[in-house]
Amino acid sequence: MSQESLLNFLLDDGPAVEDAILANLLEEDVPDALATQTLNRVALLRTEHEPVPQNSSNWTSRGTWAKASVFLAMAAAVLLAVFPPSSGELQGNFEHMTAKGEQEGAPTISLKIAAIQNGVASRHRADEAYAPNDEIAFRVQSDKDGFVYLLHVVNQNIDVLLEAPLVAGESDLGMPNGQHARWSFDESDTNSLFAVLSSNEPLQSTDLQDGLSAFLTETPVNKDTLCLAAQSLGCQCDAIEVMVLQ
Amino acid sequence: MITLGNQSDEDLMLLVQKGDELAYAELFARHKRGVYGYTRRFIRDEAQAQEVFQDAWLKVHRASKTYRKGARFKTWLYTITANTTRDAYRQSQRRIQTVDSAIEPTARQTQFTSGMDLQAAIAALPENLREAFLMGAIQGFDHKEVATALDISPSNARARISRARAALRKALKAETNEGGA
Repeated sequence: MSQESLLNFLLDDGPAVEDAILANLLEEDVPDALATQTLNRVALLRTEHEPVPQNSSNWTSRGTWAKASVFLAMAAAVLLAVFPPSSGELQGNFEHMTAKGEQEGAPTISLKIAAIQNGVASRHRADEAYAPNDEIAFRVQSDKDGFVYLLHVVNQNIDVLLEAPLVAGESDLGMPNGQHARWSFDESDTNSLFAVLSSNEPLQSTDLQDGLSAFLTETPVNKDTLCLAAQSLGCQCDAIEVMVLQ
Repeated sequence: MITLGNQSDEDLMLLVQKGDELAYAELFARHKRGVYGYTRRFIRDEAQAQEVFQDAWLKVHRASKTYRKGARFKTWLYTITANTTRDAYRQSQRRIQTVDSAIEPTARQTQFTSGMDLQAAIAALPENLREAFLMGAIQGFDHKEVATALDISPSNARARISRARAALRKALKAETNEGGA
């Protein structure tokens, strides 16, 4: 194989060349120490990796769920008035889930946000800016059963707030204890992105975070880049950018 | 007998998802030279290239659960490799430019010159064209796979590979002409 033949192929002017010749052009020997060190680091990572329990939530650390149960019940009632009642049951009912082939696409999902300001619920508007103590709640619509993940994205920092079974139809995102999932704004909040991702199979939140981070290298992360990254992982996605009064 | 050695990359990746360490080691053995060579095409500093190489393989492990059955493993691997390498490359370029601007007002850039060999000509391609060319022309990815790996549209991938070829053709033709003159 002459250099000219290789050049002609690379420049799309000639027939294919052997894979080995192309491999020589790109591949380089890895020092043994580097290979060993890499595999050792991976082994270490494996031993350190602790699976995150399903339906765990980062929110509890914020104290978001310390709100009075009376207020939760009241807000739930208001939410039902804002959103039309769904025909399907809320998430958490595994009996209604059907086995999905892994080749099948993830559920198509859309996100709606309800704003709860001074105890009054209304539909989120794109020009809405939230203040401390305002809250938002989440409703998703899906074309089939699966799993849903609620994400909060600030700059390139991705937090998986909630993991839950997803039921076809429209339903409020809820906590494992049945309460509606809500985000309560405080002084530390800035403009951010709330997103829902869907999958056919359950994913660990850490895997999802790592997987998305691997694909998200540009800042800032916006709806388009996030959902493109989600699609690369085989998920469907919808997201809403939320403004916060600074 | 079925051994790891005669299983496809994709089947091995499914085993990795189930925690099979040997399957991961087999994938590593198969692709370590390609991944290392790719990072070295962007990162000149050997120590930094080795860091990037390790980071890429750690990300492969961390993100293994997000690999989709049916997807081509090599495309998935090089998506992670390209993103990790690009981040490091851009950081190193920023550092170089900062140093350069402190020393001299004009930033140095690699330029095509006559007499270049193929490797040097590829190294002189702009970053975005080099990524597309390495994957499209050398790794044999189709336009859709290049687009997936680089997070661009297939038409953009095609255009970048085409522009890379045009740039290489020009550089290498200059070499041939001068050599033959």
